[in-house]
Amino acid sequence: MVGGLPTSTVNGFAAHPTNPQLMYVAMRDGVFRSDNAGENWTRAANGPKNVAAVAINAKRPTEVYAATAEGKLFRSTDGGTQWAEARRVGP
Amino acid sequence: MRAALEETTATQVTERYCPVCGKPVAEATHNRFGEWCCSDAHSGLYRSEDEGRSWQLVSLPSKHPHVDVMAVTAHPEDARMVYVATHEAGVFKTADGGKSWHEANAGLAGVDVHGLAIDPRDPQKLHAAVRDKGDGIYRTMDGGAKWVRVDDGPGGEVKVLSSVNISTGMGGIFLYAGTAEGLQRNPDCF
Repeated sequence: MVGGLPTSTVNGFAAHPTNPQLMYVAMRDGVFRSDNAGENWTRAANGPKNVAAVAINAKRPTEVYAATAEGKLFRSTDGGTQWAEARRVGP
Repeated sequence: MRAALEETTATQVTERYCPVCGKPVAEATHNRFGEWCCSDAHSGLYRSEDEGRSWQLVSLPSKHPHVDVMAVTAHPEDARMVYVATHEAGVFKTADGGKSWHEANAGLAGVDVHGLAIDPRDPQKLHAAVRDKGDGIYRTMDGGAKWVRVDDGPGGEVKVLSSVNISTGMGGIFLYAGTAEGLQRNPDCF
C-alpha cells in the first residue's frame, strides 16, 4: 500500500509523462499529489471533492484535469495547487 | 448531453466533453492526437477526429450487442495502436488507427478486464487486471498475442491500472493500481 492517502477508493491515477515521480490520484476526498512516487501525498486544499478521474495534459503537464462524480470538470494550470471549475456551454 | 466548452475568462477552460463518459477530451483521450475516448463508466468506445466537437461510436467485433469499455490505452509512440479493455469481451486491439479491431484474449481466463496498462519503456508489454472468472493480473510481452497470469493482483476492485516509468532496480518498473482499498504499488516483475 502506498502511504499517506486515505484508505478509501482510488478512482483515478495519472503520472507525469516525463517526471514519473510526480503523480496524482482522484478520490472522494479530492485530488492528491505526490512528488516522490507516492511516499507522501498532499491534498489540493481548494480542489474539487468526490473526484472520479484525474488526468495530465501530456503536451502541457502543468495542466491537470479533475472530473467529479457530479459531472463537473476542474482544471489546474499550476500542477494542482489552484483549481478552477470549467464552465460548460452549448447544447 | 455533454456540451462543448468555450473559454470566457482566464480561469475558465476551453474544453470539450465526451458525449458519453463525460470526461473532458484532454482527459478522456489516450493517444497523442486526441482521438480516442476512454469511456470507463460502463459505456461504449467513442472516437472523435475533430478534437471532441463530434463523436462516433466505434463498433468492436464482439458477440455481445453492447460492450462496456473499462479502459483504453494507446502505444506511446505509435498512436495507431490502441488497446481497449471491456467488461464482457476482454481486450480488443487495433493496429491501424481503428480501421480494424481484433480480440486479444489468448491466455486470459476471464473477459472482465477492469484495468489495462502499457509499459512506457516496452510498449509490447502490457498488464491487464481481470475480475471475477480467472481474476488476477495478466501480462503480455508481445502486444496482446498471448497473456499469462502473473499475480493475484491487489486487494479490492481495481479501478485503474498504470505502468509508471520508475525503475524498481530489479529490471522492471512499478505498476500502480487504484482500487477500492486505496492505491497500491508493485514491481511489475512478478
